[in-house]
Amino acid sequence: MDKGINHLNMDDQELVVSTLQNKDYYQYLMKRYEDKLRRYIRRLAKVSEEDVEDILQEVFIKTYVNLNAFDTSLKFSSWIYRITHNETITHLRKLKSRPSTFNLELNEIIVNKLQSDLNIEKEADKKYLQANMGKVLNNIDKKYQEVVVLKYMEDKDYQEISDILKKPVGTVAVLLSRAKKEIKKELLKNKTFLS
Amino acid sequence: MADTIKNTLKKIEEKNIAPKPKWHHSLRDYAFWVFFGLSIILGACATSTIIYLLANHDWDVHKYLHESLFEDIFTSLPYLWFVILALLVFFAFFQAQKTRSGYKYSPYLIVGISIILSLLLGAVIFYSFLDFGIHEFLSNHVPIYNSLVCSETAVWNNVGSGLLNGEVVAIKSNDEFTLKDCNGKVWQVEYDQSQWLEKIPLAVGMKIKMVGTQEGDNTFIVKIIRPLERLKKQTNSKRNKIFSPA
Repeated sequence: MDKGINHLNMDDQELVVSTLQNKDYYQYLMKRYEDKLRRYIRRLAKVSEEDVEDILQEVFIKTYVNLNAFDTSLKFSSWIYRITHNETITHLRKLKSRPSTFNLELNEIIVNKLQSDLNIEKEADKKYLQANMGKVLNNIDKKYQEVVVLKYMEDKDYQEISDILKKPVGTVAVLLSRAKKEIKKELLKNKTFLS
Repeated sequence: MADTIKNTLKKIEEKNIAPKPKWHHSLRDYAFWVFFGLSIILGACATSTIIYLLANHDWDVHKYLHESLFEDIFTSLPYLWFVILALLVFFAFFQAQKTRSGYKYSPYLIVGISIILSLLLGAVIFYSFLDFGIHEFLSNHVPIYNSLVCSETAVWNNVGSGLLNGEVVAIKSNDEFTLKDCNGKVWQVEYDQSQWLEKIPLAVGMKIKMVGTQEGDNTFIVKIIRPLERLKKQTNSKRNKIFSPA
């Protein structure tokens, strides 16, 4: 069997089933998520590259150990993001001495999505937002940062965010709505330019 | 950047790591549901005890027991059981949240369902007389319990206010019997048979409570007379019927 060809046509669930039968398939699952999860960890926590790799390795081990617990009613991506989220938080707790502020890397696409949702139309306002969004997001409450990261940076929908953070969809909607208000408030605090 | 995938596979190989079996995870999930169910059942027992205590309370003679109906309600509510019920509801909520799909539901919904289930099941337990006499058992075997729950015996042990309770030790005639109160004092009680409204006739060994007046040193003239725990006999007879061997 040529696993190198087959695995490309498999979806995540099929790869999970195959991994449970043959652990060699696990590398394909890891390859699919390696970059995404590494980026997600960096966005969640301001930790060294060494820590990022430690967390990622622990995520992959935990995912493998608990493969039989994977609930097929969820997306595999939601499940592995949940493990990553929890593992990152656990790791941050262990590193008590280090700050646990979010490390928000913002590109133009992300900022545009946020601007659109915040109903910011003036070009000057957009530029200001682009320049200061990182600072603004770092100042809002962590529970809001988490949903903002998942919604705007990881491009997850409400159901996925609900499954990752283990919160009801309604709570996710409320958190996002409050997060937007907090962001606007923070922006206004820094510069009273938003109408 | 380190080769995380390679390192992970190496670690899996070296430490002989394998996925935990499916039953391990299922067992964990079932355990949370079992604890959830147990919390609801215990909550239902607490509810049935609350109903029992409220139903057993003599609301119609509140003017003899307390100065006002409000004071009677305030002092008679079984707060201990309300606290126990609340704790069990929250325990049920935390167990439900730990299940695989528990997070999908609003906390208010889970708490609401837990309360409704406990109340409904508690009412079923009470009305089917399957309450197993929790209050009676605790009252008789756990000394601190009576100080935590407003005790019928204590409330009805105030001859100065016309309240007396105790055990019938001898029936002298149709309108007189001897009673031993909870302090061991023996009373001659005078009453009218028409005051006894129970189906079961007054008998030796029965625990009763009365409103009336003291005459002399050890005579008590009855105005109102009834069993100490009005539902007890009914409960016991029904329970005996259910659990007696065929």
